Order: sequence, then C-alpha cells, then structure tokens
Amino acid sequence: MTVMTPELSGHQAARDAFVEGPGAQAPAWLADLRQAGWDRFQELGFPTTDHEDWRIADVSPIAKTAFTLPKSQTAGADIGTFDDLSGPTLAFVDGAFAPELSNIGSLPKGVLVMPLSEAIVSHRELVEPRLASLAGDGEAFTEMNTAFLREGLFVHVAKNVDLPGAVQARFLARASSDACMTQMRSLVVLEEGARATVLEEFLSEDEAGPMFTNAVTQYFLGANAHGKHYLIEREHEAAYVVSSLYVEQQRDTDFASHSALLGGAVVRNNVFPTMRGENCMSVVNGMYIPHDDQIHDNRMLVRHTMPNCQSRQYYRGILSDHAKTMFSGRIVVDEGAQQTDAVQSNKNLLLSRTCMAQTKPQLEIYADDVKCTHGATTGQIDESAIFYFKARGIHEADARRLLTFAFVNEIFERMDLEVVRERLQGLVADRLNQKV
Amino acid sequence: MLEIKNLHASVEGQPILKGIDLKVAAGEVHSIMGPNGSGKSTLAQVLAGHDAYEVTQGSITLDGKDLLDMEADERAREGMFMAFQYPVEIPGVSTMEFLKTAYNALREHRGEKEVDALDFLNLVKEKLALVEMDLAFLSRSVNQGFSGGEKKRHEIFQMAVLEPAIAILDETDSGLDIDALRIVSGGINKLRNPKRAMVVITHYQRLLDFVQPDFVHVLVDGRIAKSGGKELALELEDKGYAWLENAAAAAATS
Repeated sequence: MTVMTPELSGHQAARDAFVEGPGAQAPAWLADLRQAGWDRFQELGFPTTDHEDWRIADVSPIAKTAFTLPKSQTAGADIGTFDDLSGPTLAFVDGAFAPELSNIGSLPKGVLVMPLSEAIVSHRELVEPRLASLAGDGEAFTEMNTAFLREGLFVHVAKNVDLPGAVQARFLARASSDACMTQMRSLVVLEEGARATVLEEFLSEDEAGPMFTNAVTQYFLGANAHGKHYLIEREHEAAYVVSSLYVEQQRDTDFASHSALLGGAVVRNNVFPTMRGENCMSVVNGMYIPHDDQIHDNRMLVRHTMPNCQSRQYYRGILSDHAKTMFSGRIVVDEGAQQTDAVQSNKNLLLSRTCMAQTKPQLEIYADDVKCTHGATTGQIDESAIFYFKARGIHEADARRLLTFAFVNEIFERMDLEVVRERLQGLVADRLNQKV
Repeated sequence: MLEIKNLHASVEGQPILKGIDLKVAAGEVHSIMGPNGSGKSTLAQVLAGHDAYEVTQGSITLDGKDLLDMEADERAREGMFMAFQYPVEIPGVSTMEFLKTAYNALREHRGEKEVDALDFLNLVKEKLALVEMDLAFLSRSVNQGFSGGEKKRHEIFQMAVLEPAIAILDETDSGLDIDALRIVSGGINKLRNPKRAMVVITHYQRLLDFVQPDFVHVLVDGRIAKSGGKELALELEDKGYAWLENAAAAAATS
C-alpha cells in the first residue's frame, strides 16, 4: 500500500483524465503496462535534489504543479519547415499526431514509419515487447512516461534495408494558459544490417506558462545495424524537460547520438546506450548552450556488457549569464567485457562569472583488460589565442565570437547531416552573438 | 618607417627593456641578436602590442603614427606584423577562416569591400607556393597538430597574404631543421621588397646565412649594446655574447 504524497496526488487527476480520455480504448496489454508504470512511478516518487543524480536538475516545480493534458488543437500550429532531407516528416502537436502537417510519403520496401498509436494497433508484435522492456528500470520519469504511453514516433526498418536521408519528427507544444504536459514515447527498431537516421526536435510556441515535456525514445539496433539519432531541444524557457534515450545495441552495431540543447528552464538529457554484443561502437556527442537561468543536466550511462566494444562520449557546453550545467558520464564495464575501449570528454566554456558547470566522470570497471579514459575541462577563452587573432588585425569582438563558436565546432563536425548541422550552427550563432 | 625612442618596458613590474633606440627604414632588414633573457622577445611582443607588457617610457611610431596609442589589432591593420616564436593553436577555427577574417579586417580598414571568395582562394594558392605548403593546410584548425616547421612556415605564409609594411620575425628559425629553415628563409627573402621593412630576431647566426641583414644589433640586458653590419653577426658567431655582456655589466656598474 503506497502512501501518496501531495506531489503525486496532484498528478493523479491528470492520470485519471488520461485513462478516461485519450488513453481509453487501449488494448488490455497496454492498459496493464501503463498501470504497472503508474504503480512504480508512485513507489519511486519524484526525485529530489537530495538525490545525488538530481542535485542540479531541481524538478520540484514539476512535482508541485498539477499539469494537465493539453487539448491538442492543431489548427494554426506552426511546426516550421522541416530540414531539406529525403525521408518522412512527422509532426506532433501537443502530444497528438498531426497528419496534415506531416508527410510520410512513399517508403522503401521494408520500412514502417507511423505514429506509435497506429503501430500499437497494427504491429503489436513489434511494439509490445520493446515498450515493456523498460519496465522497472528505476527511473521515475520513465515509469511516468509509461503510465501515459500512447503516442510518439514509430520506425521499423527491416533486415538489410537502408533508409536514405532521415526520419524527422517534430514535437510542438502550443502556448496555453494551463500548465500542460506531454509524455511522448518513440520507438525505433533497426533489424539486422539495417541503416537509418532519426531526428527528433522539441519546440514550442511562445512561452505562456510552465509546461512539462517528458519524452522517452527507445532505439534498438539488430546485429550489424547502423543507427543515428539527433535530438534538438529548443522549447521555451519556462519548460521543464526530461528527455531519455535508451539504446540497445546487438553485435557489430554502430550507433551515434547527437544532441543540441538550447531551450528549456530545466532540461534533463539522459542518454543510455547498452552494448549487448561484441564489436559495437557507440558515440554520444552533444552540446549544451544555456543562458539566463537555464539548467542543462546531461546524464550518460554507457554500458559495456560484451568484449571488444568501443564507446566515445564527447560533450561540450558554453555557459553564459546564470546558467548551470551538469555532465555526469557513467561508464559501466561488466565483468567479461574485455578489450573495452571507452573514451569520455567533457569540456565547458564559461562566458560569465555567474554561471556554473559541473562535471562528474564515473567509471565502474569490472573487467581487467580495458582502456577507459576520461577528461574534463572548464575554463574561459584562451587570452593567448585572442592576442594571436588581434596580432593579425582581427577585432577583439570578432576574435571572441570566432573562438567561442569554435569551442563546439568539433561537436558539429561529428554531425554528418549537413543541413541539420548548418541550421544548428545558425541557432547557436544567434545565441552566442548576444553573449560575447 | 619604424622609429623606437628610449623604449622602456616591464612585465609584472620587472623592467626588461631599458632604453632602446632603433630606426628602421623601408626596404631594410635589421637583425636583432642577443643572449637568452636579453629582451629580444619582449621587444617583439611590445611592438606587436601584447598587453602583458607595460611601456614605462619612450615611444614607438610607424610612419609617424603613435603605435603605443593603438591596440594590437589596430597596429596590425596599420601594417605591423609579428611572426610568433610560439604560434598559438586554435582548435575549431580553420586556417582559411582565420586568414580570411584577418584579410577582410585589413580591407575594411582601408575602406575596401570584402574579398570575393574565389579571388581570395587564388591569392592564397599563390602565397602557399612561397612556403611550399599545400591547400590542405587551409582546412585544418589553425596551427593544431602542425609540426614545428609547419607552424613557422604558416607564420611566413600569413605574412605573405597580409603583406605588412613591417614584419617582426621573432625567432622564426628556432627549432627548425635545415630543410625547414631553407624553406622559411626562402619565403622571407621572396617577401623582401623596397617598401617593406623587416626586423629579424634570432639567437643564432645560422638564419643570417640565408636572410642577409642590412644591419645587426646586439641586445644585452634590455639595451642595444652594439650595432653594425652583417659582419657583426659573424663576429658574434666566433666570439659569442660574453664579451658584450661583460662590457654591458661593466658599463652598468661604472
């Protein structure tokens, strides 16, 4: 018997509204899955800043706010222009799929792309075991997401099929005077030898009040599959955001996660790749550019369970004003995961005296023949570099701008979608040009 | 062109330059030699405008304009160039972007419009040949992962593109093997012209076999202890610096 805290009871109304409203008419297996998620979420409760993993990301405003489900009005919603990439585009507005703003188009044979709500009905066998696989992982927000599981992106690529371009999904939160929350669940499945790139972007209309986005993406790579994932977070600065990417890699897979955090009041960005087979490569690459009072909290958990795998974590932050950030990079090397080669690097550039970057490498190594390196730096612009620029006639302001931007250049260079990279470079430049 | 009068400079309150007078006219190449710690590199940094060095007395003018009134970037746009002894590595900024930004800052200063990308590429290709570098260098981050010789060639290449009125070469020869030295000094010689002055700072006479100076000055303890023609360099090669250091010490205590 669980004693419900005031925080949780505030969310019970939303849960009831979900079960009776958008969540009604679910197949029994899904209703059970959601209920189990809700039960576990209630047991876990909201994490507090007393918890080591939640010291920076204060989620008490989420706990204290009675968030409601949005009304999902798509008329007049501006999702923006999708990047010019071949591949399907899917728009979700306030948690609901918006077919009129989407263009799935014709897909190669062996490729399924659809909203998850549709796949739940039409492809239960592909969906159910994978959605259920996160049960009991101990993450309160993931359990909460399961309790509201209904909609998101679904991608399935059959054996040896190469999906060219990228699947783009945009999740738009509309302005609302109510405090609204969305709980998206995306599922990407690449069967053996398949290849695909998925881009998920979270955006919002202008700030109208607090909102809460709790998104979970599950990415499965069958043997020898090659998968990439992009996350772009640019919701307004009263948004509380928890974004969790779970990756399961079978043998000989190659995976890369690219993240760019610009928006949100508090953003928790979880990236959790697990290498379940030998000879995998997992790259976790990202940048966070918070300003004002934004908090960007990045938590990586890279698991090596089998021998001969490589992982690379490269995260860089540029902080200004009163921003606070955390990079917590955990690498777990299981017993028997010999010849693991793991690299972790986190670098922070501070543009003000009042911002704060924290970095916390955590290496848990249970094998005896591995190579794990980590490094972290936090600092300001190199004044000797400024002098070098000035000595060539470059104005100091231009030198500072170029050097600041250069700090995240290597993160950009790992992003192979050129149009996405260029758009992001523009967004980052717009942000930084006001700061240096 | 360049006129230095009674220049005194300190770093962190410690006097390093103690009264330097030097006149360099257009077309001339002056060499400044001297033992370690004599103030050679300080002189280069002070001329370039590094703000860690405080000028406590004296003046520096370039074509009559007071350089001490100008920040480093303004001096550079007025035609001052220093080839760094230790070129700075700039990860994330491509050599091409760096150089183009510098070139356009110069053009803007002269009231010219931004250079056309293709014109600039052609200019850069032509200048690369002077120091036997290939185009691939330009896409690399500035100085990052460059060998010692590549860094120095890169400095001379920048000088070739920016075409300064006066170039201060701060120990451009240090750490170079004979092949790299030949390439670097070949580049320097090609950039000599009647309108451009150069001040070549070196610890070793070796460079002066390749770049023949019009005048040689020996800096000892922050002052020019002796000036002469290129034969002075040969004399130093034979006798070392000790005789000048002793003379300077004797003069200081007398």
